[in-house]
Amino acid sequence: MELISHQISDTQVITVKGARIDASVAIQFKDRMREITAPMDGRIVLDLQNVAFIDSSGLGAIVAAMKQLAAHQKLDLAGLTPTVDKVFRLTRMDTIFAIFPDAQTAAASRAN
Amino acid sequence: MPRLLLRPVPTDEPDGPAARQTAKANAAPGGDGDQPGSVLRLTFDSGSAQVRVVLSKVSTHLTAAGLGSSELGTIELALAEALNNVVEHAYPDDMQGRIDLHLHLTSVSLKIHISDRGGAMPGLNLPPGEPARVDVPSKDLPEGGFGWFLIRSLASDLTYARDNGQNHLTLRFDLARTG
Repeated sequence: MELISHQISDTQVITVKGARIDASVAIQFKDRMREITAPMDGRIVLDLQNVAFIDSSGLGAIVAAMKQLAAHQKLDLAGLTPTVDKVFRLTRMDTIFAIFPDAQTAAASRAN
Repeated sequence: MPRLLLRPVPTDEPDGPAARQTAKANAAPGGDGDQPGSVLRLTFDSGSAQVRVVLSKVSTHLTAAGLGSSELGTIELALAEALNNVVEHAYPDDMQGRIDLHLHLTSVSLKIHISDRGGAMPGLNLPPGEPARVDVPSKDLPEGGFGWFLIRSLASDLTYARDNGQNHLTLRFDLARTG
């Protein structure tokens, strides 16, 4: 489960390279997110375009990653594939995060 | 390397009215579009790595049977939650145990029966699966407890029974008619 970051203007984009954030990798994902976001400033977008599947453990890990952030950091989501989107919608966690179709659109939008 | 037994087992018991549903040995995918029903049986050790493999096998089987991607996503998600629940709660703390899965697909429904010999469901009842509270301060957002709510939202029917030291959980999905 690899996380890669790059910058688009003043937004840090973290791309998940694995196809699944599930019970078998949820803890690693949360720990890796803590490491990678720690030095970041401001807007962070988690790009999930490669992620075909998350279960409730994966959802919990994404929520935990957001809760781990400092007050000056904000986590938005991009590239939700159909099953991932289903999980966020059913649990109404789609009301908690700003969700964009892709990282470029996320970076281009004004931060709230 | 997780030890995984995958045994497509010929079934000789008709499930329901025998005239309408023929249980097929080995659940051969593809081919017969008029196939009245197919069965897949899997036996595996409890563990998250094994669950991944089982989900993949089930998805492959259902894809070959012609289910659409949205239905597949629904089924995979509900099944993942049900199996994770067995791994985490029936066989906790890396306790080893066997899980049996019996899948029966017809043109109108999919039934998945999961059985294990782990601890019983508290109160011998299915958890109610309340929706997560999202209207709370960020620091209080839940990081878990979504599983039963998801299963109840995704499956058409859900039953649980405890019998002779075994848990029996059955998920039923009513399928969209095609054609």
